[in-house]
Amino acid sequence: MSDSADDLRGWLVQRVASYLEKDPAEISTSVSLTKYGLDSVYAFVMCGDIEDHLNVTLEPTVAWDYRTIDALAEHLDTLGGR
Amino acid sequence: MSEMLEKLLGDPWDPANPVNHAAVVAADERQEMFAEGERLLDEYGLNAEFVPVAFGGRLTGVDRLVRVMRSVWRRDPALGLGYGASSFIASVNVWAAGDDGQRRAFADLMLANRKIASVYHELAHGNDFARAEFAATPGPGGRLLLNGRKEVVTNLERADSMVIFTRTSDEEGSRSHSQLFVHKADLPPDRMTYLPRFPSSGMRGVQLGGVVFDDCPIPDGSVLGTPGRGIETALCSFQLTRTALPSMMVGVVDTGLRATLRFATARALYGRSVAAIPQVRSILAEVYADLLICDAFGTVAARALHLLPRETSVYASLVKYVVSKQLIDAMDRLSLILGAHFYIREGVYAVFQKLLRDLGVIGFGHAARVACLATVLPQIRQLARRSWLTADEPPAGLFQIGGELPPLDFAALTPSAAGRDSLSTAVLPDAALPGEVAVLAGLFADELGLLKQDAAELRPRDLGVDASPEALRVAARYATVLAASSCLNVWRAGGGDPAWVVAALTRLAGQLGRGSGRLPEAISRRLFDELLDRHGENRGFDLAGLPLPG
Amino acid sequence: MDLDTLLGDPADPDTLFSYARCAELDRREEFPEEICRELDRLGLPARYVPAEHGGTLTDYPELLDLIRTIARRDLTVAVGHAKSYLGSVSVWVAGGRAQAGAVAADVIAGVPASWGLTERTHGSDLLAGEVRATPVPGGYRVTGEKWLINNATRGSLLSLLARTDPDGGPRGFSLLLIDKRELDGADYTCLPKVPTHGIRGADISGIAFHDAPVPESALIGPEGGGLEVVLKALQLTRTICAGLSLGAADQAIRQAEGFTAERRLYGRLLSEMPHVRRTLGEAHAARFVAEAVTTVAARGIHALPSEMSVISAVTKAFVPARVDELIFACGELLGTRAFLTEVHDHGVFQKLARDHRVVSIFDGNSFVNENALINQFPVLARGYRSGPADGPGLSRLLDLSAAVGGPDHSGFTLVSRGGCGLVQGLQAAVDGLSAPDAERARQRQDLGTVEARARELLAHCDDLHAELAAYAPNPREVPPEAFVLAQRYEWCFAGAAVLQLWLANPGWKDQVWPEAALTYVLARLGSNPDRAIFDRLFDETRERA
Ligand SMILES: Cc1cc2nc3c(=O)[nH]c(=O)nc-3n(C[C@H](O)[C@H](O)[C@H](O)COP(=O)(O)OP(=O)(O)OC[C@H]3O[C@@H](n4cnc5c(N)ncnc54)[C@H](O)[C@@H]3O)c2cc1C
Ligand SMILES: Cc1cc2nc3c(=O)[nH]c(=O)nc-3n(C[C@H](O)[C@H](O)[C@H](O)COP(=O)(O)OP(=O)(O)OC[C@H]3O[C@@H](n4cnc5c(N)ncnc54)[C@H](O)[C@@H]3O)c2cc1C
Repeated sequence: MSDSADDLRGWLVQRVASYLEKDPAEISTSVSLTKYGLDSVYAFVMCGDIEDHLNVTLEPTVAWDYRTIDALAEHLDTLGGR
Repeated sequence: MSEMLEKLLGDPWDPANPVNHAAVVAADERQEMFAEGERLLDEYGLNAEFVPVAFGGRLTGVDRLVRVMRSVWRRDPALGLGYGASSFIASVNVWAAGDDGQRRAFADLMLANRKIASVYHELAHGNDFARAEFAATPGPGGRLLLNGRKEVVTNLERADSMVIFTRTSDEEGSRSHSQLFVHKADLPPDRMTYLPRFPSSGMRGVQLGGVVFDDCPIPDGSVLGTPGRGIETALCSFQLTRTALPSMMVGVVDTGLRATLRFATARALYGRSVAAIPQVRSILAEVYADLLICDAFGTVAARALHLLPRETSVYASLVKYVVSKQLIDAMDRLSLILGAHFYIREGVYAVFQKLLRDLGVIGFGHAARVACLATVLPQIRQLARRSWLTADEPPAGLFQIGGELPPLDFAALTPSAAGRDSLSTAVLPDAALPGEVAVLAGLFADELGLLKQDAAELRPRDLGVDASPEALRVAARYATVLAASSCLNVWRAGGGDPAWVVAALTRLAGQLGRGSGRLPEAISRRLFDELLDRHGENRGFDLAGLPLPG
Repeated sequence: MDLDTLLGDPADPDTLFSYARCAELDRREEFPEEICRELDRLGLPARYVPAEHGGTLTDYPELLDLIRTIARRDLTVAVGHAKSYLGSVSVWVAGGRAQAGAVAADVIAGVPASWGLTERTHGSDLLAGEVRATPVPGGYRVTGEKWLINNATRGSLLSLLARTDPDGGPRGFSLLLIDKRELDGADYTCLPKVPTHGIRGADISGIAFHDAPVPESALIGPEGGGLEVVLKALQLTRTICAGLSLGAADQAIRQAEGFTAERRLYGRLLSEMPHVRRTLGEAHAARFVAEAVTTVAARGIHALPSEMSVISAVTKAFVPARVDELIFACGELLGTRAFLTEVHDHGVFQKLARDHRVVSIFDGNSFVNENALINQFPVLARGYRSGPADGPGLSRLLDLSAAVGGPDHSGFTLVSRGGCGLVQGLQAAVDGLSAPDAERARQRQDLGTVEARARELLAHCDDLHAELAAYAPNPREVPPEAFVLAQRYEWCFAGAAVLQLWLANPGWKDQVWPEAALTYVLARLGSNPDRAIFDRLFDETRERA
C-alpha cells in the first residue's frame, strides 16, 4: 500500500476518534465503522470531511461501501485524489 | 385536475351530498373506510396520480400531486392516507429502485384501482428502521424466504401487493437491507398470518394491520434494485413522501379553518358575531398566515424535487418538521375558538374533531419530527460551509407556483445533499424589496449568519443520535430560514399585495425569538378580510386559491 | 390510607378503577357508574361539602389533591364525579343554612348534582340566557333549555341559572336549585347524551323545562343575584379545574417516562438521548409551575378570598393551557403509542390527551378568563405600586406549614380591589434575596441562579405593569394586544408563585426546582435563559425515582 494510503489512514483514525470522542489509540482500522456506532446518516459527516480534506467529490455513501478505515483508505487512495 | 376531482366529490358542506362531512364523520364512527368516497375515487382513478406519465399515469409534478391530494385530505384524511397516500409511499420505492418490469407491474395494479401496502414498520424498532429484524434469507432452492413481523401498516390486509423493507444480510451497516415488491397471489397461503387490526384514536377508518411471515418463499426477481441498497432507496424515497404528505395535509387545516369561520360568522355572542371579536379575528388571520407558510415551503420543496433533486434530502425532512407542527398548532388554536363545538362529535362542526384527531399522525407517522432534524444534522456543517450565504441563486422556476416542471428524475436523488443548498441563501434581501419586507428578510439573513457560526461550532457528537437539544435547535432554526426563504421568493416571483408575505415572515421570525410573532394590526386586518373574501367566494385558502364546489 | 391506595393498583385489570376498565368504558361510551359508586362508598362526596354543613371539606388544597388523584387515573371519572361539587357550590357560596343543610345531606348520600349555565346558542354569553323563571305565587315557573350540561340526565339536583327579569341584565338572572325528584315527568325532558371527543363516557347532555313549578325556597341567594353568585362560584370551580389538569399532567409524564425508560432505539435507551432528557426535564418544570399556581389558588381560597377573581382567572387560563402543551411534548416522545389505543398501556395516553382538552373549554375558556383579567388591569396596575394589600394573608397563603383555616365561602368579590398580593409581593421577595439575612443563610442552601432569574422576572414584571398602567380599557373592543398582556401577566404570576412559595418554605425543594421553573417561565416571557437546567432537573427526578 502506498504512503498516501497510510497518511490517509492516520487521518481517518484521527477523524473517527474525534467523532467518537475517543483516544485514536482505541480505534482499530479493521473494525467496521458501524460497530463503533457510526450509523448510516452519520457516515455523511465523514464523507463531507473527507471531501474537504482531499478536495474531491465522493458518493455520500462511500463509507457504507467501504466499511472499515482500511477499506476506505485504500479506496480513497485508488481515487488518487490528492 | 384537482378541479375535476373537486367537482366529482362536490360540496362537503352540502347536506344533500352523499360524500359530505357528515358521511365522513359517520364512517369514522364506524371505524370504517368511507366506502362511498372510495367508490368515487375509484371512478376518478386517483391512483393514476401516483403513476408517472411514462407508465400511463398522470404524475407530472409533485406540487400538482399534492394539490390534487389536498382535495381528498380536506374531506377525509383517512381516505387521503388509506385510499391514496399509502400506495404513494409504496410507489416511490418502485420508481426509485425498481426495474422496468416492476414499475410496469406496479403501474398496472395502480391503474386497476388496487392497493399496495408500504411495509416498513416494526413496533420494536420504530424510526430506527436500520435495525429492522424482518429478514429475507436465501432458502434451500436459492429462493428468498421471509421471516419476521411487520406491524401497524396501512391496508396490509386488503392490499394486493406489498413493498416490504427487509434485512437481506446479517452484516451490520448500511448495505444490508432491501425493498421487495411482492404480490400476495404469488405467496403460499400458509406462510403468512395477519395480526389483528390495530385500533387508533385518529384515522380510525384506516385499516392498520400486521403480519407474521414464517419461512415464506417469494418469487425470484422480487428485490427492487440492487440487493443491499435498501437504506439508500429509503432515504431517497422518503424525500418524496416527507415533502408531499405534510403538504397534502394543508387541506386538513383548510377545512378546519373553514369550519371555524362558519362557526364564527354564524355564532352570536354579546350581541354580535364571534367573527367580530378582535381576538378571534387576529387568531384566524394568524392561522391563515401559518397555512400559507406551510403551502409555500411545501410547494417549493416539491418543485425542488424536480429542479434541485440533489438538495432535497435536506428540504424534505425540514418540510416535515416545520409543516407538521404548524398545522397541529393551527388546529389547536382553531379548536379553542370553536370551544364546545370542537368537543362534540355531532352537528355541523363534528368534522373538526375528526380532522384534529386524524392530523395527529403528521407528527410521528412515517418519521418522528425530531428524527427529521436528526437526518439533517450530519449534513449541517457541510451545508454551512459550502452554501450558506454564498450559494448561487436557485433556478427561477423553483418559486413559480403552478409553473411547468421537468419530469422527476429519481436517479438524481441522493441520500445526502453534500452541502448543496441554494434555498436558504435566497432569503437575502435586495434593493428591489419594499422596505417592510426587506427588514423582515434581513432578520433571516442575519439568522443564517448566526447559524453558520453555530453550525461550525457543533461538536461531532452533536451531529448524530446523541445530538444535544441545542444542536437540534440549530437544525430547527435552519428549517425556519428555509421556510422564510420559500415564502419570500414565492411572493417575489408572484408579486401582488405583500401583506401575506409580511405576515408569514413575521410569524416565522417570532419562532426565532425575533419579535412576538404577532401580526401588526393593519396586516392582520388585510389577511382577515382576504380570508373572509375567500370563504365567501368559496375558494381554497392556499396560495393557489382555486374555486371550490358549492 | 390515602385515596390512591384505597382505590388499588390501576395497572391491575382486576382492580375496579383500573386503566383497563376505563379504556373499555371509553370505547363503549359508558358512564363509569360502578367506579363512581366506589368513590361514593369511600366517602368522596362528603369531601365536596363544607364541614359547617355536615361534610368534611375544610381544606381546598386537600380537595384539589383528591381530584388530581382521580384525574390521574381517569379524567372521565374525575369530571363525572366532581360535578356534584360544581352542582352544589353555589349553595355553599350563597345559599341559606337550611337549604345548604338539605343539599349537603343529598350530596353526602351520593345524589349527583349538576350545574346548568350554558345554553345551546349562547355559550359564554350568560346574560343572553333564555331559560326563564317566571315569578308566580309561592315560587317560579321554569321554561327553556340548558344544553351541554354535565350530569344533566343522571343528576337529581341542578343549580340552574334562569332569567327572572324579562329584561335581563346583570340583575335579571337568578340561581335556582332544581330538584328533579320533586318535579313531574311532564315538567322536564332530559336531552340525549351528546357524543364527545374525549370523556366519552361522561353524561354530557341537557335538560329542557316545560313550565316546571319550582318553589320559592329553591332560590340560591337573592332574586336577581344569579350572575353574581355564578361569578363567585366560578372562582372556586375554576380553581378545582386545575386539579383535573395536574392529574392529567401526572399521567402524561408517567407514560412518557415509562416508555422512554424501556424503549431502545439506535442501540440505546430513549431516556439516554439528550433531547428526551431535556423534554422530560422541561415537562417536570412545567408541571411544577402549574402546581405552584394551583397551590396559590387553592390556598388563596382560604387566605385571600377577595383576590380570587384574579387568582382563579389566571389559574384557569394558565394551568390547562400549559398542561395541553405538556401533553403534546410527552406525546411526541411516545410516537405511535400516543395514537394507538391498544398497543401500549391500554391506550391511556391517547385517552387523556382527548379528555384533557375539555378542561380549557368548560367553566370559562381562556378567552373569557383573560377577559376577566383585562377588566381588572386598572386595579392590578395600581396595586403593583403599593405592594400586597393583605400582607399577613399572603404570608399565610405562602407558608405551606401554616394552617389555612376553614374556607369562608362568603368572602369572594367580583373585582379584587387590592389587586393581586402575590404579584405585588414580588419586589419585596426579590429584595429579600440580597438582604444580609443571617437567618436565611443558615437555613437555606445555595441560591444558585435563583437570584439572577428572580431579578429578571421582576424586570419583566415591572415592564408589564407599566404597560398595564398605560392600557386604556375598552370593554367592547378588547384588542388582541390586551390578551397578550393578560398572558404575560399569567406568566409573571406563575413565576411569582414559584419564587415566593420556595422562599417561604425552606427545605421544601432544592434549588434546581425554582431554577428550572423560573427558566421555563422566563423563556416564555421572551428571555433566552440556558435551558440545560432542565437536564439537571431530569437527573434529579431520576435519582428520586
Ligand atoms: C395511521 C398510521 C398509519 C401507518 N401506516 C404505516 C404504513 O403504511 N407502513 C409502515 O411501515 N408503517 C406505518 N405506520 C407506522 C409508522 O410509520 C411508525 O409509527 C413510525 O415509523 C414511528 O415509529 P414509532 O412511533 O414506533 O416511534 P419510535 O421510533 O419508537 O420513536 C419514539 C420517539 O423516539 C424519538 N426518536 C425517534 N427517532 C429519533 C431520532 N433519530 N433522534 C432523536 N429522537 C428520536 C422521538 O421522540 C420519537 O417520537 C403507520 C402508523 C400510523 C399511526
Ligand atoms: C364536555 C362539556 C361539558 C360541559 N359541561 C357544562 C356544564 O356542566 N354546565 C354548563 O353550564 N356548561 C357546560 N359546558 C359548556 C361550557 O361551559 C361552554 O363550552 C362554555 O360556556 C363556553 O361556551 P362555548 O364553548 O360554546 O363557546 P362560545 O361562548 O360560543 O365562544 C366561542 C368563541 O368565542 C370567543 N370568545 C367568547 N367569549 C370571548 C371573550 N369574552 N373574549 C374573547 N373571545 C371570546 C372564543 O374564541 C370562544 O371560543 C360543557 C361543555 C362541554 C364541552
